[in-house]
Amino acid sequence: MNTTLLIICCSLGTLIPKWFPQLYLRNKRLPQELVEFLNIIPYASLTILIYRGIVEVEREMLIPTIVAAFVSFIIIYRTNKIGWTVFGGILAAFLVLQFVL
Amino acid sequence: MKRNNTQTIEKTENEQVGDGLLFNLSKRSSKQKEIREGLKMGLTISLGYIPVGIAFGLLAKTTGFSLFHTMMFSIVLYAGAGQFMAVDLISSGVHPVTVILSVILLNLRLMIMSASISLHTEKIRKRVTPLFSFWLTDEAFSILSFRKDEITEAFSLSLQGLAYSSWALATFLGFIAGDFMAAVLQKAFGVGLTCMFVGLLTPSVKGNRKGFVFCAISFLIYFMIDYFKLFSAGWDIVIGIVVSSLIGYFVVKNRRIE
Repeated sequence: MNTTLLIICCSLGTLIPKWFPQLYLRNKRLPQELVEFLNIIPYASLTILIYRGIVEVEREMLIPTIVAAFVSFIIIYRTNKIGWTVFGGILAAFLVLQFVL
Repeated sequence: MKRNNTQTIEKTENEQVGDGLLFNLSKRSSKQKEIREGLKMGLTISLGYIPVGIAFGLLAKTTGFSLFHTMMFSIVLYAGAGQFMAVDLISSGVHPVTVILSVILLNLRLMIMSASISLHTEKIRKRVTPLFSFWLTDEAFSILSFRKDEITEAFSLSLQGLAYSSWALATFLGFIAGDFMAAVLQKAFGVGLTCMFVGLLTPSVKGNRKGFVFCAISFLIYFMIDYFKLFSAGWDIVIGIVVSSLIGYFVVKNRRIE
C-alpha cells in the first residue's frame, strides 16, 4: 500500500470515531446516569495524560518534567493564569537541564 | 387621535430598530470577544505544540519520509502521538493494516472524549461538527471541557484552528530546519503540554472534593494498568479512562461526596 493511501486510512480511522458521538449524542436528552459518567471523563483523561506525560519521558527528562509539573502546579494554584503556567513549567525544565543536571 | 396612534406605532418601530441594532452590536462584539479568548487559549496550546511539531518534522525527515508525506501526517491525520507511532511502525516495515489498527486504537480515547464534550456542544452547528471533530485533540478537549462559559463556535474554532495551524507550521519548520533548535531548548519545550494539563486540571479540582476523588481514583487505576502492563498500547488509555470514570461514578453515588 502506498504511503499516501495509508495516511488517508489512518486519518479516517481517527476522524470517524471522533465524529460519531457529535452526530448521535449531541442535543439528545441522555439518561442522567450517563451524563454524570460522561462528566467524570475529563478528570480521568487529564489525570492519565499527566501521568503519561511524566512517566513516559526519556530517562534524562524525568527529573526536569517532575520539577516542571510541580512548578506549574504552584503557578496555577497561586495565579490561575494558564499562559504563565506553561511558560513557567518550560522555564523550570530548561533551568534544571542547563544548570542542575 | 389617529395621528397620535401612528406616532406611537412609529415610536415602537424605532425602538425596535434601535434595540435590533444594539442587539447586533453586542452580538458582534461578544463574538469578537469569543474569538480573542479562543486565540488566547489557542496560544497556550501552540506553545506546547510547536516544539513537538518540530520534533515530528525532524523525525519524519530522518526516517526517510518526503516533505509531502510528512506534511500529510500533520495536515490530514493530525494526531500528535498517533503520528509518531505511525512513522515508527511504517519505517520498521509493519504491515499497513496493523499500522492503521494501531493508530485507530491509540486515538480511540478521543471518541470517549468526544462523547463527553458532546454534552456541551449544542451551540456548534451540525455542519461544523466534522471540522470540530477533526480538530478535537487531547488539548482542545481539556480546555473546552473545563471551560466555565458556554462553548461557542467562535471560541472553539479559533482555539482549534490556531492549534492546528501551529502544528502544521511547526512540522514544516522541523522538516526543513529541525536541527536549528538547540537540543536543550527542544527538550525543555517538550514538557509544555504536560504543564498545560496540570494548569487545566488544578483549578477544576481546587475546592472540588468530587473532582479530587475522580483524579485520585484515575491515578490509582492507571498506575496499576501501567505498572502491571495489563493492556497493550492504546487499550490501556481507553480502558483506564472508562474504568476510572465508572468507579468514580459509583464511589460518588454511594458515598454522596459533595
